[in-house]
Amino acid sequence: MGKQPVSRRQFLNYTLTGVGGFMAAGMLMPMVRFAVDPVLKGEAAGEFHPTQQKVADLTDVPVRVDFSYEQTDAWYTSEVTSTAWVYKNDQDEIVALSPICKHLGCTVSWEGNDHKDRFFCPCHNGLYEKSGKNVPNTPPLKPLDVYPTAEKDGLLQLGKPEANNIV
Amino acid sequence: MNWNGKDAVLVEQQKQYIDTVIIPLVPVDFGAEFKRSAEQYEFVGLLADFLERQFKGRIVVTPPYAYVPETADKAPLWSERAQLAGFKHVFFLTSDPAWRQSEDELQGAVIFVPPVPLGDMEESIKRSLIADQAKQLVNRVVDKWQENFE
Ligand code: FES
Repeated sequence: MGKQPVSRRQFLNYTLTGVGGFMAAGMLMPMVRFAVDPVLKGEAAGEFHPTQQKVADLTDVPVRVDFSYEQTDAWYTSEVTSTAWVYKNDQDEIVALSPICKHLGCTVSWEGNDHKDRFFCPCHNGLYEKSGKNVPNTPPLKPLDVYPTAEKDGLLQLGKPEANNIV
Repeated sequence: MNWNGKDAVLVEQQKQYIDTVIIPLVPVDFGAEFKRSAEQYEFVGLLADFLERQFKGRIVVTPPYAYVPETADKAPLWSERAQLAGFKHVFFLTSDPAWRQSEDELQGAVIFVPPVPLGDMEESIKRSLIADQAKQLVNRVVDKWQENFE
């Protein structure tokens, strides 16, 4: 007998290796994804949302900019409304701060409750400097997050808030 | 904070800071007032969501206390329990004018918002209307905290 037909055992071997390989790939792929994720993430962070704020109108006084966009969350899309406090700093750069208090998440406001030159959190009297830096001896332990900013047709665009690294 | 497992963990850990509950108070009717009761529920719910976002670190929004006429007078039991459990402030949020003068009876502050029939209003208009109403509420909540300290 020259050519043996594939024996039962061989057949099982082949197919099982096949399945195993497939499963391994299934497990490895996400790992590879995690490994290269910073790259993918870079793309996601590059996603900017338009606002109605004219860049030319910005001054050194923080203004409240509300904007909304659609967010797709697994199955359904929902409209999200976000807010930023935006101004130009001494170097004429645009600064856009998240209003979410780093203590427990209330919304802060510029010079709220008559706190000159500070962001104020009404929940437990948290304070931040104009740069977003938290004022010592008030509850927040970290500075306000910052939005990456961009400009399109003279209008401000905002990305995803990131940790603020000012010291 | 919202009434869910994730936020509940925080509430238990940070009770000295998260010291306030907001209880939406809504009438339920299956007959002639059906549409009106549904609209009030929607309206009060949207306002409660807004307040939750604004004051996330200090307020827990509870499920609404929904009542038929015979169970309306049981609402104070909720504030009683909340206070027993250590919450310092209880605010009721409602569009039902019947509660306007009921602060003593309810053992909590009443935040009354005149109902706005949302009907089948367009989403974007609805949103800006709610935002307008809610901005006025923000100050009233802060005032209530201050009053309660005096
Ligand atoms: S949540 Fe802002 S100070 Fe506590």
